[in-house]
Amino acid sequence: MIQKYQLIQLITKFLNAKENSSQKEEVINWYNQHSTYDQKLLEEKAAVLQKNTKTRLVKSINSPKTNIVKFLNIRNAVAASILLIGISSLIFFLSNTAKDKLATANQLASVQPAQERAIITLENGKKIELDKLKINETIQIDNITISKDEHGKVSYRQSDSKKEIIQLNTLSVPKASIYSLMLTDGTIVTLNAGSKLIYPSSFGDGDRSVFLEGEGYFEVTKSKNNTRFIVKTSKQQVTVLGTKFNIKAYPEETKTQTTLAEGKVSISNLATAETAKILMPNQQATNNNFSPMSIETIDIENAIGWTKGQFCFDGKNTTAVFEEIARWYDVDMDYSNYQRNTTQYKGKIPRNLSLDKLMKLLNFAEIHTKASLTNNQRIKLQLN
Amino acid sequence: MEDANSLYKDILLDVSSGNEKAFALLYDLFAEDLSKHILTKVGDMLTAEDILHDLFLSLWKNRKKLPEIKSLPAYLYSSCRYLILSYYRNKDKLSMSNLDIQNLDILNEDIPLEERMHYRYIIDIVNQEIENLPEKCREIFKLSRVDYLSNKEIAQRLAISESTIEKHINKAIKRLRLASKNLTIIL
Repeated sequence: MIQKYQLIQLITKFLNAKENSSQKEEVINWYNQHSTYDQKLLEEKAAVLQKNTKTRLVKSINSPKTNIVKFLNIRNAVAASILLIGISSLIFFLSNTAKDKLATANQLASVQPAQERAIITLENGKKIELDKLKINETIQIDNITISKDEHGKVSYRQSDSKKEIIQLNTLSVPKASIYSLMLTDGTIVTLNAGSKLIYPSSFGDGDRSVFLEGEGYFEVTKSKNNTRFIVKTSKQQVTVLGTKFNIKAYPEETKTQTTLAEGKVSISNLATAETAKILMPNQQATNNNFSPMSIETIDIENAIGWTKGQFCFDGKNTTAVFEEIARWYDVDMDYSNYQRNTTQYKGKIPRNLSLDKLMKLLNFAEIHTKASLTNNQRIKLQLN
Repeated sequence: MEDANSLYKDILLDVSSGNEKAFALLYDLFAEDLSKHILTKVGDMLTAEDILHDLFLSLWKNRKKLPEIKSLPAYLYSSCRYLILSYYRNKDKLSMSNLDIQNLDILNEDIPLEERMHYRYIIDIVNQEIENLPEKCREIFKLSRVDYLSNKEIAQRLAISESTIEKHINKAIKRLRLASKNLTIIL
């Protein structure tokens, strides 16, 4: 334990920015380990702290510019508020559909972004919840070993090659979830919210085939005997040797989009049976039921931003991003008031925020969003 | 996870031009987590309030420099830590003997708090970039700028020509300048 005098001396050097690297390390280590004894009611205290400090800050900043609408004096303010209440009650009484209540700030703050959650369903119907696996824990089912390493990464290994009973397993990632899994050949697949991957418990010597529903980012390893890796979705089939790519094939959407980050893939449209097309890095292929496949060069960041913790608006895809937001938070969308402007937002918003903070950011970016509570207690976002 | 720096950049730009609404948004986005962090390090509510208040007030006072910041969460964390360490120093100084206090280094409080906090952030970034330099380059740069050796002395010590030493130092400066592009530093 470091002596108090020495510690204060080190801290002083640090505050003067005159410490050397080992002194800095000592200060940082001490700081990281130091904590107050009383950690009870941390959330409640933090909320009070935040509120009180905001009031103080407002006074300290004391700018002459204010946001108060100047023509509202006290008398008018009271009159105006009564009028507002009157109108909304009137609307309530006269409408014959139950009015959605506005969601409160607290309700929105409690809506957390997607957590790491996934379920593997074996052929015999048994379910394994991957988030319930502890760090460094390993479980064995038949001849399969599922283990979670010290970083929380889950991998799938065949434990006994003598007994080659190959099963079809399903990895499901529910709404408001995201998960990464390493398959038996070393391929890493990351599934986005509301997605499913059906894969064999071991790949054998031939082609490696999986079936995807929803969105997945694949980092495929080259196998020893150069076997192909094939991802099938309901509309298409993507064949690769070793490469990184993203497939978006949600059943509720009409199009399937494949975006290539590295390597080379070949895509065939199962509906039109046209000849397979080859995709180069930074290209995106869109398959739309019975229309021919279209390929364009795009900014890859927008397509795989979700694997990096971002919602990426590219100026044209506001609705598509909101569909992602809906799946990520497990909320519903209402576009009835949405007018597609010519100038849509372009930029990145982090995915790790609670819903209230996300909405503040969206509104700041001039993407006007309102949240309400529906009859069955679900949150609905309205885009204006 | 990457920061969504493009949107934070827009907010910072607005704050830098004095937009209080943007500043309030910044507060709403980060105050909750910062509050929790402060409370785990500082037991007393009033002091915690002082720290959170001073943190954001310094941000506001220094708002012209905000658009330079590459990672807003890192900046806030670094500044928060600075204030907590400063508070801790003051608290414990009170319980020290006079003799000990006299022997302590002087904290240079002529420089305003927000400038010291900003400088701390910059120096941490530069140090990190120095560690990212290629091995030889880094070794030579440190001998020059940290140990204050002349190019001739370094050349003798490492048995390399002086012109090679110069090349490495220039390479280091170029990379550091690039990494800290908009921050005000004189190397």
